[in-house]
Amino acid sequence: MSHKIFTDIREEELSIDKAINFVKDDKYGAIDSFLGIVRNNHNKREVTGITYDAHIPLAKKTLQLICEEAAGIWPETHYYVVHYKGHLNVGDISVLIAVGSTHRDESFEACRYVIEEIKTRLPIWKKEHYIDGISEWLPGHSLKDEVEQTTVCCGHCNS
Amino acid sequence: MSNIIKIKIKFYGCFRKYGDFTDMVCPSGSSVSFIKKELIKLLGIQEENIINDSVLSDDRSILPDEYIVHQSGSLSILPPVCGG
Repeated sequence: MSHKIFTDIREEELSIDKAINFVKDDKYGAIDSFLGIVRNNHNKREVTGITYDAHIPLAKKTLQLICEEAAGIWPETHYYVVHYKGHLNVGDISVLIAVGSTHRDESFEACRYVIEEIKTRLPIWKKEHYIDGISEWLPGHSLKDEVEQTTVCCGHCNS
Repeated sequence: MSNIIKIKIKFYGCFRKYGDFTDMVCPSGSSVSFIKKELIKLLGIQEENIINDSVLSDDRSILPDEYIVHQSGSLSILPPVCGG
């Protein structure tokens, strides 16, 4: 069993070519990719762009962990997962996921797993900018459930 | 009498309206839960719900509410997330 994982938080344009090349493997017959794109509307409001904020060290660690979990579920898969930090306009790519695998089922399922986990676990926040000049941080998923998955001690030990 | 420690709380997402960070003091041995309550006092009661839904991190892990902070340093307050 083998897998390759590349994850990052980037402040530059995300490259689909790099993603595909990374997960390509002569042994593999499938690559599935997912692109998150900034759309021009949300809740009936016209959106002009989104600013993404990130806790970079924890976000990198979480992305790696998510991919390792996926590789544990679907062995023989490669992962390239990058999330953007900074301002994006409508049509720009905010998140890029590519998964390579022997057959299509694993790459479809693993790719879906990665984006769903990103939605609820990755310490990233988005501020939408509207046509009327107003900007708002969007509500999200609390990370309180993540506490149980960490291995940090109580702090009493001083270790 | 317990020692006083200084904690830098770094802001992300919706807390950015308060700047990049704030400094607070509290007794050594304070729990994360206590620090969050102090942060509510510092930022105002209007932030109570979002602070209660947020977690504190030492930048390596998410800290449980019962975690005890012994030394001065920095922590991050992470509001509910919405990546993707």
